[in-house]
Amino acid sequence: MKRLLGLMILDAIFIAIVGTLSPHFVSAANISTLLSNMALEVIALTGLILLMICGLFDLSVDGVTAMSAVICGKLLNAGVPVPVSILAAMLGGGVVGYINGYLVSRLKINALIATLGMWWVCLGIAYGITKAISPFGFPESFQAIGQAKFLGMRMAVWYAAVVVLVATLVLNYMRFGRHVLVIGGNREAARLFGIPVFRTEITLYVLMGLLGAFVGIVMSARLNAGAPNSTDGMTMRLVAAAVIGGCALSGGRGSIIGGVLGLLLMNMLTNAAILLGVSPYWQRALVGSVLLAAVLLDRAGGSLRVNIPWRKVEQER
Amino acid sequence: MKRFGDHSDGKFSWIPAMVCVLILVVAGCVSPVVAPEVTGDVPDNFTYYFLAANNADPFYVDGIAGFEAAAAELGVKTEFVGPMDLNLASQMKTFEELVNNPTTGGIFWYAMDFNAGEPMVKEAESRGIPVVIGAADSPFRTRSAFIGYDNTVLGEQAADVAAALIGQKGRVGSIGVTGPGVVQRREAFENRLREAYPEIEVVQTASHTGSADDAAKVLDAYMIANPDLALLWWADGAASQMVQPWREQRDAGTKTLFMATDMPQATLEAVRDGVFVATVAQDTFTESFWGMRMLYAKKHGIRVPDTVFLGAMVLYQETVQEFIKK
Repeated sequence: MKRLLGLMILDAIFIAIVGTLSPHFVSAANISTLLSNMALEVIALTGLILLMICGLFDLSVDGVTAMSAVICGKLLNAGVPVPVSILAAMLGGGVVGYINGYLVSRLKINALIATLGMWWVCLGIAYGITKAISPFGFPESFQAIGQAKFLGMRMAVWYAAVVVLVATLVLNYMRFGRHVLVIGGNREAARLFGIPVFRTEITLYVLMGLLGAFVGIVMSARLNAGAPNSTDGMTMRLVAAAVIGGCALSGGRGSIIGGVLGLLLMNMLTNAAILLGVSPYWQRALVGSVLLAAVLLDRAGGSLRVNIPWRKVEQER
Repeated sequence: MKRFGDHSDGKFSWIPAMVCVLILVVAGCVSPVVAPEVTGDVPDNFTYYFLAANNADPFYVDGIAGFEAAAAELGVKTEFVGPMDLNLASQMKTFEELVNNPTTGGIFWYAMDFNAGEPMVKEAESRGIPVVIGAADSPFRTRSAFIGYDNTVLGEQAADVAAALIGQKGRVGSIGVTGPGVVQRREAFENRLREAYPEIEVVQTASHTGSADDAAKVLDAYMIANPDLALLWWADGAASQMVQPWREQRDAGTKTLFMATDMPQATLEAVRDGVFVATVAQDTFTESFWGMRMLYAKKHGIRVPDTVFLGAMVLYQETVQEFIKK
């Protein structure tokens, strides 16, 4: 909670300072743009935070988004109906998630290596299918998925809101969420408690694959192009946002809202850099500095662990 | 389409071969050293490589087609190689492998760093492997030849087009990736506008990382910061992925003109549809077509021009149609 409060204060201070320097920063148009543009990252971030809380990792996220964007785009260009194209792309993401989960949870391959390998596979498929030429010119019904607006915001914002809400509820109030926390806290102890570790982990990986695919599909609809480079480098930004938001790389703690606040801070940094005319060469240094500062603050402030509900788990058994 | 060296059809296909044999016999009698013509009739089992800076970039599609078209005319093998992202170490590793490969006939190189590649160029030349540089020329003169664009000239050309489009007055901005070639052309663009068009105000540029997602974010933020731009120049090939985001800007009421760079199909169609006002296009097909022929000529001892600069094409709504693939 202290971490969330700290992040909120940090975000507020940042908004106040940049808002003073550039009136455009706090304009309704910029806020809407900022939220719309980070919404898809929020969706993928939610899946990644759940994995990280469980002590897992997935480096294949932007590979999955690229692959699903391309699969969906190619099918649409081939005249396949919109729902079928979407389902096929989602299926692709789900299969990648399952393979990741199987490699990590069943075959005990290090998550970084396994998902790094899948990242290459997915990108290879995306570029192999397209030969780097993005499919474009999709049906309007498909474009609406990414371009339509509700209350002045792109639909992606509302998709993200639903995903974050559901995931937060599951993590904090449902048995599955508690299992995730317990496994992340101590995998062996969780197994001894009778928690279905493999099932939980593979569910998280499949969910990550599905969310990644969904991001790719909505991105394609938004750009009206299934670009294989649609979200290059996104995974590292998500990991950074999760860490800024208080996720432990070793698992067992973290919060989705914290991650979203961390991502908001990162997006505000790059947005402000453009509005204030900061050299693009320095933008990454800024983001990196914030990440390091967050980690150092976390260390200085001591552990802010989420209470792992051992007692509740015991009762459920 | 019939190509040079393609004599497989027709019942008199033996005639050209016979003529070639006769010519070779006669030539052999007359002079022991005769430079062969670049027709593909010279036996060549080498592979010619197009070494790209980022072979995941759709920018190369036309270039590959040009390279392959020339190779097909000459009857030689080609391969398109290079890193999947802007990774200098990876490109140098591939370069070294090509130089050490005895079947390499020549290398058409899109450099990321001339200093890093210079030892490889020297090594290649010492082994009889010509290196022709495309896109932007090296400050070193060890390469076999150069054919491509002068980014400074391209930027100045874009500035003149931009100025003409907005009646030589108003605010002008630009967005592009942070690669040295694009930065060079953007600087030339700005300098030209400042020097030649006093009524044009050049605003701070912005850069994106190369992903479509980031490019769209940068575009949105840039237009919020500069809502009254007369013209925005998107200085790299990612303009093709900005068609829909720009449509949204137009729907939101912007009067800014969007001038693109390069000629992917999505960009050409956007120019045709009036979403983009024009595109400043590098004709990479022509560049790599002649790049391949220069490699072949050098490999076979034929003199080629040391430096060839190509001019950028500017395609407008009225002139873009013939470049759009059916």
